[in-house]
Amino acid sequence: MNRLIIPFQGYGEFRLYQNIEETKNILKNNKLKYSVEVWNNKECSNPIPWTIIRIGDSIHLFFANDKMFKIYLCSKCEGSLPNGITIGMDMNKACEIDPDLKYDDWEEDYQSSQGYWLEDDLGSGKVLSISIFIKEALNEEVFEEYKW
Amino acid sequence: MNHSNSGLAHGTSGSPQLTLENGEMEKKAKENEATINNKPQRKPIFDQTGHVTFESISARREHFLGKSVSQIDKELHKYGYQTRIRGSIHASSKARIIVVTNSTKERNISQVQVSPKSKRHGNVPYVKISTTDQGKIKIIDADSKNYITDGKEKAKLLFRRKWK
Repeated sequence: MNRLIIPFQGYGEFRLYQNIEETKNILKNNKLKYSVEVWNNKECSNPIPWTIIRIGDSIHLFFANDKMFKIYLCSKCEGSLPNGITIGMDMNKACEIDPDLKYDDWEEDYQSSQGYWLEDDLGSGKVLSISIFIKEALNEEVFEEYKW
Repeated sequence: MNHSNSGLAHGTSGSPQLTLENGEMEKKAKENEATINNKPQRKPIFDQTGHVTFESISARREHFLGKSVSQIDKELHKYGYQTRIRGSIHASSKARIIVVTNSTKERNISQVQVSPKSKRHGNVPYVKISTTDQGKIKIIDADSKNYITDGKEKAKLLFRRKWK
């Protein structure tokens, strides 16, 4: 599988906006084990359920309205962003590679205008996770309407 | 039963009564006073206008812990807050965010984040309150020893207390 994590596009064969059936076919073809979790989101003002497909502990695919809206990669997930940032890289080095990374104190992650979010491991100071997402996720009000 | 000639005080029905000598009474009163002083202050979290302060939250921090997002939302509505609840797009856990849509100088809470666990902080649950004039206040449902931090957090941290 291609190991490139491309913002606003996808990771390997997993593409943002892909539906659940297409995703399950990819998992089947690659003989990947996975689990499925559904959050009903009943307490939310717009209670659209989210489905999360978890491949081991390292790849988490988020869906709403049968469209993939976020890919969360962590643990031993191999792959790199086009600028070379990887999971496990020193966070300071990641900030040198992408000086546009800004820490958000509310979300508690580093956000890049290039279209990805990083979490840092507070113990080791290394990149803990990389998230890529659809453009609509950048505007919570637009995202919450689920008209994408 | 007629007690008039029984030699027992009225209402005792013959049961043994607790009797304390004067010295013991004083000791017991001091113990009670100490117990009251050790209890958390019951200062209200919200004033009548819906305003909160760091001190008022700190004094009753446990009030927010172990509650669902709907329960916290209901509490806010009691004080005139209008809100929307959404899932956190950033979090990998089932974190929920209450967004206040009618913040004023008095109703100073702007957002509340209810996180069931944070991998980054050692899988501990917390409630984070963002205010317009008190900064961010994070109430952590754990002992400080179990919470991982780099010490650079701008939010004011409050840990669950242990009552003796």
